[in-house]
Parts: sequence; C-alpha cells; structure tokens
Amino acid sequence: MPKYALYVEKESIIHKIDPRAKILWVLCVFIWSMTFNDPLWTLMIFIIVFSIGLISKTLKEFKFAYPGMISLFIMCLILWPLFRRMGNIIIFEFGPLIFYKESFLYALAVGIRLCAMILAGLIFLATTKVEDLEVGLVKIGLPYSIAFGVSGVFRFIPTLLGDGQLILSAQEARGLDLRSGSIFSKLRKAVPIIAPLLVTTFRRTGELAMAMESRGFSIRGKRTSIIQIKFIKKDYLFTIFNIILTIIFILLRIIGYGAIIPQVL
Amino acid sequence: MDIISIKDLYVKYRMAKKYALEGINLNIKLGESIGIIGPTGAGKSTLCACIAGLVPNLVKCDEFNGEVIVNGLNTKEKSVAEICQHVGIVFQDYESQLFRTTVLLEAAFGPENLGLNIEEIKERVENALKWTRLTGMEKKYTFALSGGQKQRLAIASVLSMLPSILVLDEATSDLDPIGKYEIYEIIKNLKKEKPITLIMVDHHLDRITEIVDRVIVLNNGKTIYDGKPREIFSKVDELIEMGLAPPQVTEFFHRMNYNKEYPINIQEAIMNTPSKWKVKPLIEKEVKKYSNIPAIEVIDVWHSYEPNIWALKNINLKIYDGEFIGLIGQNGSGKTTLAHLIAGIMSPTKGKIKLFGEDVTKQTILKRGRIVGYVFQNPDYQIFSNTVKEELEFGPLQLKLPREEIEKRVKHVMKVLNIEDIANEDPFFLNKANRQRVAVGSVLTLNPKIIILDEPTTGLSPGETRKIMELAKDLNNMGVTVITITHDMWVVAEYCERTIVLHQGEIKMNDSTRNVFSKIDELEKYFLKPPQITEYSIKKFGQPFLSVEEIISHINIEEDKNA
Repeated sequence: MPKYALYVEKESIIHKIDPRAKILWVLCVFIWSMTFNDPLWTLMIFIIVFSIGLISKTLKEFKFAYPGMISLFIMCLILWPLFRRMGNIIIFEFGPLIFYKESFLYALAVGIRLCAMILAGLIFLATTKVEDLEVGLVKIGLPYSIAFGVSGVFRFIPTLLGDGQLILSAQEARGLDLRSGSIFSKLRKAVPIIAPLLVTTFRRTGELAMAMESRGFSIRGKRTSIIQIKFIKKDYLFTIFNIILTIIFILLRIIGYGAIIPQVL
Repeated sequence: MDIISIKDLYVKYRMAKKYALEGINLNIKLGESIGIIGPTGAGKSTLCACIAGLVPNLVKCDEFNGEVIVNGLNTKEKSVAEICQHVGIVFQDYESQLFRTTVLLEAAFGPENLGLNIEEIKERVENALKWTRLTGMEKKYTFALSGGQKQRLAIASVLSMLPSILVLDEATSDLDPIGKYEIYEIIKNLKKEKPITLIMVDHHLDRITEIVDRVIVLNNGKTIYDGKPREIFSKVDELIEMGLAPPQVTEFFHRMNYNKEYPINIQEAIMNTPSKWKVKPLIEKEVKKYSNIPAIEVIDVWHSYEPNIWALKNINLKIYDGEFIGLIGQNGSGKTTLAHLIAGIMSPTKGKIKLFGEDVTKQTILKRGRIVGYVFQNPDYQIFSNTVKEELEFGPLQLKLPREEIEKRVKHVMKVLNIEDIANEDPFFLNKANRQRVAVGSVLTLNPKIIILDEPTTGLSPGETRKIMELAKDLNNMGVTVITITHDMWVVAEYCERTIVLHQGEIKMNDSTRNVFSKIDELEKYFLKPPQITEYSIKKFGQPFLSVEEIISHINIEEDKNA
C-alpha cells in the first residue's frame, strides 16, 4: 500500500514547528553548510542536523536514502580532488593527476556538506504534511497554484514510484533483463520502462487535472484554508536561534575559521 | 424547467478521426435521474465531460458545435471554475481523483477554493461526509481507505460544492459488489434529501433500475434510445447486439418468450414467474478431468508490507494444471498480493511457492515470466512499442528465440486474439479493450503455462468483457491454467470452474463456483453477492444456476393438461 509523500507520523516538537520556521531552518542549514569547507566544521553542521533528526524520531524512515547518500559521498571524495586541484601538500601523483592533501580534505567537507543538506531536506519532508507545506508557502507569499504544485510533487512521488515498480516487474516478466549488458545497452533497455511510465503518468495527470478543475481549483479570488497555522513563541525562538547561528557562522568564516581553501566556498 | 439542455452537439477531439458526439439533443429536467449506457467509445464520458464543462474548456477539441446550457449557463462561454459550482463530476479511477492526504482535507478542497469562511466549510464537509457515510473518518489518511470508501470520498468532495447536478462517470466500475451497492444506497438516500439531478454512466443495469427514472442509450456518438428503464431494458436483443447486458432476469424472461411486461429486478421476477415453468434437477456439465499435477502450490504463505500488518495470512492453496480459477474478494482483501506472489513480482515474507513441483520462492521474475504470464489491470503498464506487432515480438526477442519461431508465435497469437487487422497500428491510440488484448497478447507470445488476469475487464462493456473472457477460455482449452481476478460476478459464474474467496488476507472459501455462489449469506460477510440470475434461481427454484443459458436449458414449460 503506497504511503503519501515522506511524512512520518510521530509525536515530536519538530513536527509541531510551523512549516515556515522549518523552511527557514532548511535554508539556514544550506547556508551553514556552504559557509565552511573544513571537514571538521561541516561535520559539526551535519551533527546539528542529525540531532534535529533524532529529536524528530524520523531518522529510521530514511533507510531507502542512505545508500544513495553514501554513494554520493564516495563520488565526492573521488571526483572533487580531480577538479579542485589546490594546495601545497601532495599526497600522491599519478601521471598528470596530482592529489593534494587540501583538496582531499575539501572533498571530504563537500561530501559531508551535501549529506547534511539532503538530510535536512528529508527531515523537513518527514515532519511536515504536504498540506502544511502548501499553507506555509502561501503564507510566505507564493501564489496558491505554485504552492499546490510544490506540495503536489511530493504527494505524488510515492504513486510514481509504485507505478515504476509495477512496470519494471511487468517488463521483467516479459524477459527484459536490466541487470546484464553495458551501460549503453542498459540505457536502450530503459525504453520499455520509461515509455509506459510516461504514458501512465500522462493519463493520470489528465484525470487529476479534470478532478481538480471540477472542484474549483482555478476559481480566482481569495482562497480559504481549513488549516490554520500560527507562528507562536516556540517558532519565534527556533527562528531567532537559527538566524543568530547563521550570523555567527558567517562571521567566523569571515575572520578565517572553518576553511581549508579560503578562496572558495 | 430544463436544468440541462443540449442542442445539436457535435464534438471531435484533437487528432481524432471521427466524432465523439454526433448530433446530441437532450433535455433534462430538474431532479431527474438519468442512466446513460452504451458500448465503449459510444461517447458516454464525452457527454459527461460536456455537461461538466470540461469539454471544451479544459480538453481542447478540433470541433465543438452546438450548445450545452447547464443551469442557464452556456458552457462554451463560461469557465470550469464557474460551472463546477453547479455540476459535480466523479470519475472511474478513484486513485487519481484524490490528491489530498486526509479525508477532511479532501472534502474541504472545493469549498476552500470557493473562499468560504471556515465555519461554513466545516459544515459543508460534515454534511458531505454524512451523505457518503464517512462520518468519523475525518482524520484518516486517504491511502488507508478501502476502494469503496475512496470512491465515496470522491463523491463527498464534489457534494461539498453543493452542486445541483451530480454526474457519476462509471464511478462504480472499479468497486467490489458491496462497494457498488453502497454507492447506489447513498445516491438513493441523497435523492430523498435533496432535489439533485443525477446522471450516471454505469454498466450494471440490474442495480441502477432502482435509482434512475430514465435511460439513454448511446452508440457511436448518437442517442439510440431514450426512455423509461423498463421500456429500454425490454429491448433485450437490441441491447445484446450492441454489447450491453440487460438485467439477467429480464433476459431470461425474454428468452423464455414471456408475453407480458418483463421484470427488471429480482423481486418482480420472483413474483411474476409463471407457475408452469418447472425446473429440472441440475445436471452438472461433464466434469473436466485435470491432470493431478499441481501447477501452483502455495504453502504456508504470509506476506506483509509493513511490520505486523499481514496482507496475507497463512495461505495454503493448490491449483492444478489446466484449471480455470476465479479469485474474488473485497477491494484490499489481498487478491492482487497473492497473484503478485505467484507471478514472482514480490517474494513472500514467509512460506513457499512451488510451480510444477519446483520451489520457485527465491527465483527472479525474469525466469518465472516464462512460466507465469501476468496481465495487469492497466494495460498501459506493459505497452511501449510503436506497433502492435512489435509489442508482441518483444518477449520472444528478449528470450533470443529464432526468427521463424517468433514469427510463428506472433502470427498464432494475433489470430487467437483476432487482432491481425491492427497489427501495424500504434497501440497508444487504440481503445482500452484493444489495448487490453495487446497486453494479453504480449504475454501470450512467451507461451506461459499459467496466465494471471488481474481485473482484465474493468471499464469494458459487457460485450467486450465477454470477448476477453472467451479468449481466456480458448487458452484454457488449449491447456493453459488461468487465474482471473475480477469484481464482475457473472464473469466468475460463467467462466471459472473453481472460485477462491479472499477476505482480509485469508482464504475464506475455496470450492466449485456453484457451491461458492450457493452460499448467499456467507458471501455477504465477505462483501460479495452472487450474480442476479443465481440469486433469483436460488430464491425461486432452490437451485443455483450460474447463467441465463443454464437456467433456460433446465426449464420445462408444463402445459396445462386440462386445457
């Protein structure tokens, strides 16, 4: 049975925080992670995010995402040193390829940085219902249709995944072997998966549009929302705390802390 | 006063070769209840979409001539946003109509768009949920609802807009018998409470007779008949000719050459059965001999999607080579899960599955696909090729069979399915019945020994349903073991030799189809109902006949000897 979106129903303070405050928190995490490029400092950011995750009791639900995060992390470690070739201490040379200690540490920092950002995003989605996100976006000032679109994407991801899974099974049952062959033959083999997925999604979207329109989606004028969100004391505290942290982190970076390669982000 | 008035309506969709509607003239009075029937492609859905203003405002067409006036509004000149405050429309696929996460939010979406104040929204939602018997479920997630509840929620979410016209476009097609029945019940009660005008497209004529007071038959975009239900349903031969199914009791009386007004429901049929119609004891058709080789063995199988919630509990089942099995049960009872486990789409959490004696529990679907063919409810899951022929060739090509063998198989399958004339067409543009045939064909070219049909006939007219099932029967006669999942009980009654009833993840009944359908009370516990003719024959003659054909062959008309 497909669940909707990534929302995980748990009792936690993070769940109760106003969606606007949480959107701002995610933005802050993005800024914090970009502020530093020393792995120890980005690790600190990661630990902050991780603790918020612990408080929200949702970390267990991201099992599906961990393999992806780990492979992204490893990719960073391998690729960044090749492109960001800076530093003084050479670890090893391999023909024209020179690996510097600094660029390796930088890569480590970037890997941790990306994981922190992804984790923050996941925590946000796991603790915020799509409708709350929608209301939050509208209150921030986005037009309703865009807010609906954003929340709708998250609402329909599980549906899309479910369709994809069944299509994959259907074609495998007909002998489609996706596991063997070169990367190019694998790409060619993706056609029997992609084409039905597009057609199914296309038909689904058509029906969805009709259902939405016939319930007055495009009525112009003020829309009421049955969900009432209020920015209360705890949301102010959370937000002020985040803003102060952001200012402190930026100042620290300006006076020279937390950077392996100071010239770049 | 006419609440809907349609004048000389011609509609042609973009890229379409022919008109979807061709000269429709229709006037509907306030408070009328209309049933619309017709074969697939007759224009029923287009007509509904025109009344709701979706055509031509949302769906663009090459041609839209004529006038549709709804509640005084000319739909061509108004937007859907305006028309939707007068017309509520509900479609067949409940999954794609629900887009909020909870029952409350779903039902509130419309009134929210109207910009009403919160108190009024809450009141409207409360009423809408009451009418659809969903009170108390406000906080529930929509994905956790059963199919019938989802469709009722779809209805609730348009009722909260307080429309004066409610259009149900095959809203009951995907539901189990009781799910359908509940929809009809809430509609009947709604009619008592509100002067709402009702338009319903539905293939289940035996049920809608209780609700509608006028029936319109469409074919090829034109109105063929328009009249009282009894008058329309009595045209038994004409309806069957068009691929539609009049109520079974009506067909029975017609074929018995009954010379008075035909009954259109069970009660009428029981009361009016002439006393000289005597029934002979039931002669079982020659029992087909199966090999005693079990094709499928399901041993102590348990399956769960989430910890501690069992979708299947302790399933033990043997299906013999060459059997034709019906798998029935309420929406969400575990039918599809069981079928997926047999086909290898998933592995069971616990237990074993054997095919022809070999333990295949851990085997990949890639290998199992050569033995078990699975036809999905949605043919779009399988179809991707540019032509029908290429689609059929795909499976054997993957198996790297020799060219001649592939040609031979494709040719044979196209002949069996009778799709030779569309061999070079793009399957994307075929209608659903034909896409379903192509999907069946694409599985058949793999020469499976077992074929599973997962609701193959949903959304097809009775005539098309019969064609697909006849095809399954032919395959079965050639020795293929067939398992079909369906909500159409008459399909099970006429085609399946053995029927398995699943309820809440357990096998509750597993017996010959006749024995299963004899137990009306037990079936009801599992939200199922036997076909109309079976119920009638049990109640009137004490014998369970499975089809109109069968009961006719067992009736003797006793001539009055004194006359």
